[in-house]
Amino acid sequence: MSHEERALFVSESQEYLQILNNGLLQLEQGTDPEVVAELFRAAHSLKGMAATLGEQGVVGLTHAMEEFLSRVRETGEQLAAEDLDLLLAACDGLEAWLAAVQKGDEATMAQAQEGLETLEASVRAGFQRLLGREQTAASQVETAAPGQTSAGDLPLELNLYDQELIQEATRQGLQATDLFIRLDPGCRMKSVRVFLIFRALEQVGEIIKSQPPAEELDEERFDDRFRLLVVSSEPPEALAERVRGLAEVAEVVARPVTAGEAGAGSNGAAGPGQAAAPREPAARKNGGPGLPKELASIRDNFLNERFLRVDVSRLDQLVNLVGELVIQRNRLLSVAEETGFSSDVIEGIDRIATDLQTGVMALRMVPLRTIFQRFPRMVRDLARSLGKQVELALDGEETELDRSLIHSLADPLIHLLRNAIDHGIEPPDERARKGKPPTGRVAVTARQEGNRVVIEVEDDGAGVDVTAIRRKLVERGLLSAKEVEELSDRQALQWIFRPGFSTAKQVSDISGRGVGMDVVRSAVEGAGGSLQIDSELGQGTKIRLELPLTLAIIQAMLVELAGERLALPLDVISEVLRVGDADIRTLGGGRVLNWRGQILPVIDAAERLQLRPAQEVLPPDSLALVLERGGRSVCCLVDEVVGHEEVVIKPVSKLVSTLPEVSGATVLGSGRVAVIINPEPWLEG
Amino acid sequence: MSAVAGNQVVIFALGDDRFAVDVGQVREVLRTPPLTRLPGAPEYVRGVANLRGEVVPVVDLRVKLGEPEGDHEDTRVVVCELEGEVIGIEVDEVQEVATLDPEQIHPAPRRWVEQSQQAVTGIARLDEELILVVDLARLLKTDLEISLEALRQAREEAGEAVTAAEGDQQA
Repeated sequence: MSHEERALFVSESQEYLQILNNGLLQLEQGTDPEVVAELFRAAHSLKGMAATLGEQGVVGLTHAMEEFLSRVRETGEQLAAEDLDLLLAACDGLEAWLAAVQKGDEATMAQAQEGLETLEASVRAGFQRLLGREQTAASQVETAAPGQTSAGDLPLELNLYDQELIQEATRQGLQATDLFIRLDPGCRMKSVRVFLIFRALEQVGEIIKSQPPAEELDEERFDDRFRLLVVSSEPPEALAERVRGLAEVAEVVARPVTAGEAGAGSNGAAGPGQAAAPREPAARKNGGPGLPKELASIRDNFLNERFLRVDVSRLDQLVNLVGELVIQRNRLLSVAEETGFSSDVIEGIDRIATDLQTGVMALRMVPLRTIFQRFPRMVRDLARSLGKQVELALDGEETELDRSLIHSLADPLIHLLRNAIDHGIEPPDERARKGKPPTGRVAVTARQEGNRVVIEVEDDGAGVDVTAIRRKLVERGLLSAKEVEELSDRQALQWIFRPGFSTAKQVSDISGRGVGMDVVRSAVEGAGGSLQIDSELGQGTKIRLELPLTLAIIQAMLVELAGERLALPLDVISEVLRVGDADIRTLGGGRVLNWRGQILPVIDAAERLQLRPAQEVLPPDSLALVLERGGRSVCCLVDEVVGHEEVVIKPVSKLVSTLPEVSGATVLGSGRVAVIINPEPWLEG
Repeated sequence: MSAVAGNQVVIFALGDDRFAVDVGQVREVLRTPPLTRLPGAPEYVRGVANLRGEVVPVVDLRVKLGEPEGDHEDTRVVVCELEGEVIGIEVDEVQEVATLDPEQIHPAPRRWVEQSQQAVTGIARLDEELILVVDLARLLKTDLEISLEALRQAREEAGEAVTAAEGDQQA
């Protein structure tokens, strides 16, 4: 496999695995024929892809899964927990194998390969169990397939899907034929014979099913007989003649098949979903005559591909170039302004650059679904292992975020979810005692608010004990008793994001090692975001994450501080006041601003940024900016506001350490570099 | 290793002291561009500059070598790459690009190689003058504390060794 093929294979396979994982979880709630059909398709597609790459381990396992699912589709039966566990384990095995492929490490791959074989065996065993359960069911009546001859040991099994194909073929005036074929006992190269038979039949029709499946025939994993279901305009006997004309064919029995005849092997035990199989006439028309729907849809996917997979590095390259363009555009605008030169050419360039930038940035946007979709499985496994009952509600999965941010968000979110289940949600009996429903609820919601995305993780569990936090702060000597007293509940709660601070009573495997919340915090803040916690003891906890939509280009206000020009994210600034007009007082050694009845701490930005010593007297012409984010506000003093600009965020060299307030730098229209300030440390007080 | 046979070196000056650096280490030499102060950066970092859209920190080599800050008038920036990152080094003057013959270059005394964490790599005789060959990237390492005074001493010792060796050859 080439590197590109591999990457493509891995990413597509991951999508199918995700469908399988989520679908299987849905089956826990009851068998929905549509879900089963989707699962079947996913397993089938995975198998198809693996087969083209010669990945036999995957083919084997997915095939076993397919058989399993195909059975469920026919019977519509509810799967037992052990069945689902088995299939989920199969997904895990495939995932492990995929991870190994991605790594390209032979040893891990061999190990994963072995895992696949073991899993295939257990899925097959599970399938036998499933069949066993059915056979013992009194309502099942064994009916032999009509028209069998020596093929009695190999009945043709028609599942719902096959029946649909047959129906479609009939509608198009074609005939479905069940061909039983036996090769000469001494036939040596069976796969070659099979190939020739397939080729002969495919000249006049389509083989829509083979039993055993084509891969097994191809690998000569059959004794000497097999069945083919062929759709063709030729009558059964004509097809039989074509096959008989080939060498080393001992016996051919052909019989017409109609969709109405209950598939021989399915025992006519139509599940509820089967009788009511919905029709989608529009979608049905896709294929050419005689082409099975599934093949047709695969073909159409290739032809009408609406999505293109692009290597991310190419995208990043484009984004960088657009960044350069935006900088040059800004320079052009500033030169034009200085020289008083105005032209529609400049306006045109300006407009195109802006549109191009918006377009390219949109390419990087990824829906949160890519991380959210992992949650159901994770929550289920975690709740089970902890003996808790948890219902997960997801909302706003379609909300989009820059892909670099999505990456840095996955781990923190998973951690928060784990925390909610491990520490938040109580065991069912405890919940019952508290008069809560036994099943706890965890909700993850996302939405866009202006230039930022807000994600909330909320649970209706035990909540955080603020008193315990206060006690711990004193015990650990982090704050004095007096300082703790002065903290509001909300401020006290924020302490759980500090390094080494955990209130979990017992250390569990999942969370609560005192690392965790601070890791979440640094990841979120590293991505330019902020984190808030609200909690009520006994009622639950809500954690709110706020992130910028994109990291690459932001709207910034340019300010002047001690002769330097700096950029502040525009979305954090809620008001600009003249110091002379603002109600700034000295209070307990520091300055505060009385703003709309709120007392805000005043930050002398130039001093904080070590650009000059603190000012004894504030010039009345200087400005006070009110900064607000996530319900917290602070006032910051600057010498002057010089305008606002769309700035491209560039990292500052890793070789040089800086204050945490420096979140990057940008090149202004003038060509000068401006440092971009992250006001988060100030907002935290 | 820098300063191998027939190597090209860039000769730059810091006051009266001249140094040579392998041309492979130098991306370009510029007039010192306008700089923006970087809050919280070490003292020897003068600020960041715009280098064709790239934000590049510029280090004052004098301050890095424990000397008082100069007047920055008509200085040059030697741009080089260090650990995959681009960095600029402000020097007083960049004099020439010279091609050194192998016999012009001598290894530096081991003591100095070690003490400078391999920032000092050799010594070259150029126009009857002995010049230290340095590895700029190593010279800038944050944990390396070496003074201009120490480098002068290294040059003296290396020079003596070289002169003695050359004397032996002639004899």
